Amino acid sequence: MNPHPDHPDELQKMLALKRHETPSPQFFKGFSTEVIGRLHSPEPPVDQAWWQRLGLDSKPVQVSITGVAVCGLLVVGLIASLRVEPPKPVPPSPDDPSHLVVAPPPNALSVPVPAGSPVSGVAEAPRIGDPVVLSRPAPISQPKLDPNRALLNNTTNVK
Amino acid sequence: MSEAAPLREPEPPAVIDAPEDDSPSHESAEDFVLVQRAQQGDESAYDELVKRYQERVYATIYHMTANHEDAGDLAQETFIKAYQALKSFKGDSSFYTWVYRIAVNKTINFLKQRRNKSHLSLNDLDFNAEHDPDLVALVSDKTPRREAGLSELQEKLNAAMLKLSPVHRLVVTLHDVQGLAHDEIANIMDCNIGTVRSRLFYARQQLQAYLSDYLK
Repeated sequence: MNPHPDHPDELQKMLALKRHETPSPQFFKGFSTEVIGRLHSPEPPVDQAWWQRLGLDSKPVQVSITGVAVCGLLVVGLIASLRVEPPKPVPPSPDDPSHLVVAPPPNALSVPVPAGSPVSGVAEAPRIGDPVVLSRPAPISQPKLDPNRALLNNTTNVK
Repeated sequence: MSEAAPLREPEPPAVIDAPEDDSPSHESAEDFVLVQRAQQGDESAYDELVKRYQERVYATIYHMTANHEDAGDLAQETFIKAYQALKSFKGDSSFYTWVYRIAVNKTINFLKQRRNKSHLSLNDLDFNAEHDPDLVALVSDKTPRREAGLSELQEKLNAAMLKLSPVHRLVVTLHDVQGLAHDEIANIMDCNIGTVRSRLFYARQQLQAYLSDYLK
């Protein structure tokens, strides 16, 4: 059994060794003169990392708050961007002529286009002098049933 | 075994402190006069203050950093910062406590930045070390460490000190190496005496674990 489990005296003796660790006597001779000399000399600029320039060096609370604030702003921005709806189309006012559509002339599509023409399959642009038809929005109404078609359906059912 | 598992900070044993003398010493009174003169721009007075405390401030920083060059730089910076802040010194504490506080804060900040990049740059042991009866006994005792010379012990001790956290290293330095009283350490570290005792108890336990090979 060890009579000195914690060796407090031995540790104290060992720590006493540190009192003998001293610099050379010359070290302190010019020490105060150097200090007084440095009081008047401009301090060299200290190289700092970007986080140190922002004051985030040794303040964990500040770093945490900044991080949470940045994340919060990002989340708020993301949510706000998702909530933005596309602009609703404004119903046309009767005085506003911008809703009027210029329709091509009725014979525009019947004009034969020569094969191999670069404009083949594309409607020909209206020419000056062609009649212009102004269309209005069609009124919404129930589609009318063709009486002949309805009768045909009935006869099929009878059979 | 040189590595030891971290220990939980235990409650220190109950110790009744003898009342410590709070009356300002003669040294403090002289300091006060020198501080007043330095505050009025008398650099020779400040030079005198630096000479009074340079060794103690250097030693504290050196034992914290285990590096002579760093300790020299930090000690100079401590006195420069103290001079720049001298106008704000109201004399609520002694100049000695005040300048110690600056040194300690500077050193702890330095150690935080340095983290694990420490390397030892130890001062040589002075002539008296070889004639210190405690140290002679420690080395020449019939123990497994008798082969170890003082230099090896010094290196092992410093390496063990560096394993302590800065605050635990500080209390060991101020109390066990420099011989400051608990209340002085509490003033310097801006904490209560119970905290100082608790930290000291824990730091010693850790050191004993780290140095168990050399304390048999």
